[in-house]
This record gives sequence, structure tokens and C-alpha cells, in this order.
Amino acid sequence: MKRKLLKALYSLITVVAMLVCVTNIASADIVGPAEASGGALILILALVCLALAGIAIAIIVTIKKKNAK
Amino acid sequence: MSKKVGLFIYSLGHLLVDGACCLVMLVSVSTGKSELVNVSLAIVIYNTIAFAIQPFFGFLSDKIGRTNLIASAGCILVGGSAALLHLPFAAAVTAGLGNAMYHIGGGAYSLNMNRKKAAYPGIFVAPGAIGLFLGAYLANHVEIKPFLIILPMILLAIGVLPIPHITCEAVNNTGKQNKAFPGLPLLLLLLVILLRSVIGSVGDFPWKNTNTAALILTLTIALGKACGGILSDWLGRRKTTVIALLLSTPLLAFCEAGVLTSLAGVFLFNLTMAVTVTEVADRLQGYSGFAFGLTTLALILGTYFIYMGWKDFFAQPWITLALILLSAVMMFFSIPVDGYIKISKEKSHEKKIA
Repeated sequence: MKRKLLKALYSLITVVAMLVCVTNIASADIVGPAEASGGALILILALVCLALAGIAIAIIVTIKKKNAK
Repeated sequence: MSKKVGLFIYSLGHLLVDGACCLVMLVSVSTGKSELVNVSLAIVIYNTIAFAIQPFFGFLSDKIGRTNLIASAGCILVGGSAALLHLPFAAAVTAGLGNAMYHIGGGAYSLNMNRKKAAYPGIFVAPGAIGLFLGAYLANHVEIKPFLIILPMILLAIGVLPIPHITCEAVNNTGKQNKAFPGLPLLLLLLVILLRSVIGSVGDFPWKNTNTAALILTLTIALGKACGGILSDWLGRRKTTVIALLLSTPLLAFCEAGVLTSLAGVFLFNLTMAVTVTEVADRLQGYSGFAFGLTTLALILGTYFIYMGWKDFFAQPWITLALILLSAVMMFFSIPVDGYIKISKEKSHEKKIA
């Protein structure tokens, strides 16, 4: 039961994340992203990547601890 | 369905998905609001989503299984992105998400086929380069209608559904482990991938001025990726990768002007790909999808050095030489001498009893 709930939750989060991403960017398209500075946007995206890398490291640490047991 | 047929479908699909994404991106940025949209930004966004999000889709696939469903959903998204050709940024996000999901489906499947072999992930990844070349070629030479992308993606989404999900086997690394720093080999492997991304992005081949030359270079890259896994299964992972990197060093640093020398360098350099993916997966036992995604996250982090304007610095021959040598050293220390994993019979037995 718990496993099924987890699956449903993950699926829901994925779908919602996709919708948010797609609609946000689609709106941005209408507004005109050209106003944003390219360099600044690339820097922001680089920081997002670094943040994702940080989350990935946290997951690695958890997996390592789990596998060590 | 046999595992090898499944791998063939995923590999062929990889070519189609990468080709479709490349096509969507190039066509959308050229037909979209080109006066408003910065073309490179849309491509940067696409690359970031396609590569940086993969570890999390991978983690999801490790938890829920069903790699076939994830890959199939990825195909649908890539197909859907073709309907957004007039909105480059929306197309970038949709294609990026679809690409990430397909890669995780196929990548986790290829890694789980046989955890002792690096050949399968190499075979899965190799056709991607050909797909990118074909996508770019078609975007420049053929008038693309959305259905030309949507139809193959729907067929592929249906095609991957019958491929059964292979669960991650419990494996036990028989190589010597660094007990003081257990995460160090993994970190070194990810750094090797990051450096490979940087070096791969700065390669400038003056002879690559025709479509035929570009095709030959692409085929060499694909061949290197595919052969890397096969050779390392045969000769040993550490031996294959370290020797290949050392041999490629002078060729890529100082002989890029020569056709044969640079092709040889590119081939040798790409031999390491399958081994790094497999070794990362070996160190995250039971999380093949996440491991596959980590390698792409490392790739995009490396690419950001180029996006941030460091290309000229890394393109200097002596810098290239130093980085490839550093990669060889890191590979040497991160891969154990015996460099293979055994399926832990004891663990499997314990699980069966439980």
C-alpha cells in the first residue's frame, strides 16, 4: 500500500513539475525572453545545475550509507 | 522479448530521439520568433533540462521501475515538442524533458542487462551522436513538417512498451575499496566525465568543412563509444581506458589538423565513455538509473565552462594535453586493478531466503 502511494506521489510530482515548467516557459515565450540578459540567464542556469549537483551529492551520500549497511 | 532485442530497440530509438530533439531545436529557433529569441539560449535551456534533470528521473526509475514506461513517456514528450515549433522555449523544455526520460529508460535498461559488462551501455549511447548529426543535416536540407517527427516518436513510444523492465541486481564490488574515502573513486570518475565534456567541446578540426567529413567524425565518435565497452570487457577496464587516454593525448592536443591523426584521437578518447558510466553504476549499487543520470549531469557541468566563455582557454594544446593526462591519472586511481564486479551470490541467496 505504502509502495503504491509512493509511486502515485512520484508520478504526480513529475507531471506537475512538467506542467509548471512547460507553462512557465510558454508564457515567457509570449512575454518575450529577449529582454533578459543572455549572460545572466546562463549564469542562473549554471547555478541551477550546481544546485542540482548538490542535491545529487546528497542522494549519493544516502545511497552510500544505505549500501554500507 | 530477448534482452538484446530490447537493447537494439532502445539504441535505434536513441538515434531517433536525439535526431528528433536536434531537429526540433534547430527548426524551432529558425522558424520561431527569431527576432526576439536568442537562438543559443533556447539550445542552452534544452541542454540543461535534457542533461541536468536525468539523475532525478533516474532515481525515480530506480524507485518505481518501469523503465519502458519512462522511455515511452519521453518519446511522447519529444513528439509533442514538434507541435511547439513556433515556441522555441516551450519546445526546448518539452524536448529536454522527453530526451531526459528516454535516456534514463534506455540507460538504466542497458546497465541492468548484465552488470559485469560495459559493452551494453556503450552500444546504447553510441547511436546518439549519429542521431544528432542526422538531425542537424535534415534541419538544414529538408523542410520539416511536425508529423515527420511526431509519427516516428509515437511508433517508438509503442515500440519500447513491450520491453520488460530489468531490475537492478544486488552486486558486490570485488575490487579494493578505499576505506578512508569511499566516495573518492566516484568523485574522480565524475570529474573525468566533466573533463571529457570540456575537451570534447573545444575540439576544432579544420578539415571538418564538408558534410562527409562531419559524418566520418560522427561515425568515429559513435564507434569509439561502442567499442570502448566491448574492448574493456575483453582487456580490462583500467587497462583499456588509461592506455586509450594516454594514446589520444598527443593526437588531440597537437594533431587536430591531420585527418587520420585526429580521427584516431577522437576514437581513442571516446573509448572511455562506456567504462565511466559502468564504473559509476558499480559504485551506486542498485541505482543504475540515478548513476546514468549522474554522468549526464557531469557532462552538462563541463559544458557550462564553454557556455561561460572559457572555450579559448581550454582549446590551448597544452591545456588539452594536461586535462587528458589528468583524466588518465584519475581513471587509473578510480578503477580497481581487477576492475569488474561479481554478482554477490551470498546477497542474492540472503534475499531469496528473506
